[in-house]
Amino acid sequence: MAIAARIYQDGRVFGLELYPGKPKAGVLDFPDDRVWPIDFNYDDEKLAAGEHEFLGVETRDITRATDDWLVELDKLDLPHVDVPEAGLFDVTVSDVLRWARKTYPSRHARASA
Amino acid sequence: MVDEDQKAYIRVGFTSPEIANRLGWDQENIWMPEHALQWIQANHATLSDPIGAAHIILNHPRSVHQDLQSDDGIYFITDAEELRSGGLLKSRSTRYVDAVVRFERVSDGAFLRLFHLSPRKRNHGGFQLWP
Repeated sequence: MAIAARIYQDGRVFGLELYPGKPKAGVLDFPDDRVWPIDFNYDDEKLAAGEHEFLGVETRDITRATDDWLVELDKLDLPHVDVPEAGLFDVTVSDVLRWARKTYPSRHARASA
Repeated sequence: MVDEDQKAYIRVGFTSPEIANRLGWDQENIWMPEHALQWIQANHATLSDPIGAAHIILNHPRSVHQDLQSDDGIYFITDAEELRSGGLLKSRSTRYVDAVVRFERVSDGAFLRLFHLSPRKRNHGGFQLWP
C-alpha cells in the first residue's frame, strides 16, 4: 500500500514528506557511508535506537539526484508513495525525484534569468 | 520582508563579524522564507524554536564550509549540545545541526537567504571556510 506524501519545492531545493499533517521529529542522515546528494529524514527516537524509520527526503539541488543515484535509491527498501499534487500514485521515491528533476529546474532557471 | 514573488521572509539575525568578514558579506541580516520555516516545523519538530536555533548556528558555528549539495550554498554547522543546553533541541540522536545560506540576487538588489536548517547525524560540510 502506498503512503500519502507531499512535496516541498523552493528553486532547486526539493523535499518529499511522508505522512503530511503529522509533525515529525526527523533527523537527516544517509542510509550508508556514502555521501549522497539526497538527505534522508529518519525518526529521531528510532535512530537513537539504531533503527531507520523513513520519513522522507530532502535535497538542496534536485539536479544532483542523477540517474545513477536514483538507481541506488531503488535498491533501498523504501515505501511507495502517493503524491496527488503531482499526479503521482503508487510510485517509488525515485520516481518522484525523477519527476521533480524534470519539472523544477526550468522554473528555477526562469526565476534566475 | 516580501519578495517579488510575494513570498514572505523572516529575519533570523546575522553571523559574527569575523565570519562575515571571511565570507565577504556586508549585509545586516539573513532571511528565511516562511515556507522553509513551515517545512522545518513539520519535519524537524525536535527543533523547538527554529529561528532561535538559526541564530545560534549562524553566530556560534563549530565550522563553516562550502555546501556539498549545492553550487552556491554556505554551510554552517554546530554541535547539537550547543542547542540542547539552551532548550532549543529535544533530539536524542542528533549530533549536529546545520544551516545553509545563499547570496541571492533579485531585480532590485541582493540578500542572504537561509534555505535549509535541520538536525543531522553527520557533518556534511565541504571545503572549510572558517575557522
